[in-house]
Amino acid sequence: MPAFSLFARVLPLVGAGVFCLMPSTRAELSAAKPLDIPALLEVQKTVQSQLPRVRQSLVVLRHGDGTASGVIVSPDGLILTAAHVTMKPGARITVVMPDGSLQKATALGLDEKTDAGLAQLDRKGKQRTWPFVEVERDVGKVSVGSWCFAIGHPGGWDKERGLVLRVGRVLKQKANSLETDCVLMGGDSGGPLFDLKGKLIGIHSQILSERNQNVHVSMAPFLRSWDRMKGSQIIQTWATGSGGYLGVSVMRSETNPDAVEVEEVIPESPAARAGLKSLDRLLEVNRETLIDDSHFAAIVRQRAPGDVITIKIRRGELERVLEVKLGQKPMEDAPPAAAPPAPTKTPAPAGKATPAPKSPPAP
Amino acid sequence: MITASSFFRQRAALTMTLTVTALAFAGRLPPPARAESRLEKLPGSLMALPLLNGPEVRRALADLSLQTLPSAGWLEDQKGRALAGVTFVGAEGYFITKASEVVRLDDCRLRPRPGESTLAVREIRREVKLDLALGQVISTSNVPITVKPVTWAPSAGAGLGHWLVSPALTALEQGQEGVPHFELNLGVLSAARRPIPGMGAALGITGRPADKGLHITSVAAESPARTAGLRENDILLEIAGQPAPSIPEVNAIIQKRQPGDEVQIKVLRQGKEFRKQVRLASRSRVVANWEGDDYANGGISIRTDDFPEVIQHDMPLYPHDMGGPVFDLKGRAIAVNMARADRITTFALPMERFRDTLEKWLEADRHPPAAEKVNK
Repeated sequence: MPAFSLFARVLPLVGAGVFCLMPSTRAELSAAKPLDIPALLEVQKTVQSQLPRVRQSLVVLRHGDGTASGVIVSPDGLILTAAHVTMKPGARITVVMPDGSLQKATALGLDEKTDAGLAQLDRKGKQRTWPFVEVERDVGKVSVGSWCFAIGHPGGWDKERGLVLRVGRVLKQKANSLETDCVLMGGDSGGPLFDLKGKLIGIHSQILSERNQNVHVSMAPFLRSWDRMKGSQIIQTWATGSGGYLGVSVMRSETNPDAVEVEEVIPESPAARAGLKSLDRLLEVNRETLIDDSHFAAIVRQRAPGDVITIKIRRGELERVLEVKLGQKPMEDAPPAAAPPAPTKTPAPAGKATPAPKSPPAP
Repeated sequence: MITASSFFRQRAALTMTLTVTALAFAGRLPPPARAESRLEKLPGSLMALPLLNGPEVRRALADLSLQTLPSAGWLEDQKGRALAGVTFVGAEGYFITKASEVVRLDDCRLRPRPGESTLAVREIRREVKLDLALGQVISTSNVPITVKPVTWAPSAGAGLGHWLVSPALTALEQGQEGVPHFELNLGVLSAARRPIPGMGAALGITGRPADKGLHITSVAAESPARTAGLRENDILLEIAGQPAPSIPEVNAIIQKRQPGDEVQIKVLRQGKEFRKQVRLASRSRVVANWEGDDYANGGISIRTDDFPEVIQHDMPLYPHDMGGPVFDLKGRAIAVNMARADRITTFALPMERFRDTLEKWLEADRHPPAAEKVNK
């Protein structure tokens, strides 16, 4: 299947933990030439040149009482959207194409915790191909400060208005999400966020109250669970702790705001077993220099339970490198042993998928 | 401080998901809890988010700001609250603004820039169809006031994705010292040009007939009724001097009026009658935002529809910025901001739609017909 080969290369990369997240953004920003009006016009030109192509893959998804957005990512009609749009594998969805014509799609798997969802346009007798956009498979290519643009159908399909474009920048990057100042609204859910190359880097998911708090699912949860979501599974691996679990809290050093220190180590956690102690200064993870505390959190949560990471620390005058095998975050209301490992290889049909965890669902 | 238990927990401040549901419109969902901003709690260095409208873009727009901001300003009421933006259109102090945000222009003062004193103004014309008013600053000394009018350019060249800039006023928080920010904000033309049909005006109430009038059963969020202080279980006795004991009768009275118009209502609450002035708003927005889950950030304009044609953009502006100019990156005005409609939508009226009318208004005011000589 074409879409499969598109992503096959990436999956092992995630598992092997050589994912490079967040290049050193500070250096990158300061090295860039100062922003001026010609540079802004260059951004405008780039967005305007990408738009006619990528808008062909933007669709409206109607499901239940709601209207949302989605984006086609393969010629055979695979749609990326938000989990709170598809709601459950097997659900039938009405799709409004860019020309206003209607199609039908079926919801595939989803990852409720990260809000990643998939759907498949119906394949009719005569196989047709759909215009599709390319997924940015290297999640590390997205950096804080980089330009991006969002499209969607906020408020639903409006023939006169058409799609709504927003241009902004990546403000924060987390393990499973991006935050931008591309302002979103109801109906945008599931719509695409692109970089200036026109590659898909996010799926609109949530907003917080401030205008600059617009949250998109990053490509990480999609790429991590691609096959299983295509197999209509509900992803639970990440449900308990959004990724690898170390068992520490970190903070910016009180004496040096550029340094990151361990605040507290949870007893019997992977961090405790590896010998991390309170007030250890964190220097590098997998030889990557830490930028700040959120960078550290993102690196850990990006990885799967079972991955081994190296952490370079300074304790007093001594520098040491520790190896830590990441665990799975214990359920808050259940002993760690009670959390079953998620199924990995056997795809379950939609009807038989284990029910989603009883975490509060997105409204 | 981040505690161990909260460190890996999914952010509690999440969350409003982004599907639109019919339920919300029907008013059965509770309004979402306002998410608390985490930003204030983070250390200073983390607050420097690389925002589109951040320091980098401000520096890039510095020259453009010097060139364009003198052609803009804003109107304040007598308490010094910002009401609407203005666009200077004639050197003798002529300006246009958004009519429906300013009931009586003569009651307002115009502030040309932060820290400068305000000027008296007079109203010359207003045009309901375009929601525009023409005014002029009045000199109280012998020195005439001159301003720098905008340079108009056709808006037709601006397509989807075109950068636009507009003056934005960030008012001071209560108790905050200093002067407010008045600066250019950057955004893009974000959707197709189109007319926005009018859906009439609304008060923002539901109700059922009662003994003496209309028993109010709900009051819409951010609606004219809410602003006027109406509550559930109030009895609406009269609108504009007429009894209105049912919703169809209320609508019949209101539909004769425009968003922005003031009407007087008479209300009975706990045995006491009182009267209130209410300013009507656009029905389309009152209905869509009934539960207040619009997240418009700073509110929406009184009138958000019934425009012959609009340019839609994504600049972060407020209702009190409407009436101000929309410039291209060459500093030429191509439109006037008309309505904050929701979280992502601002409408602007393209210059082609009012340029001729404006020229006629200016001509008529500059050269009033001479008084006829009376022959003996």
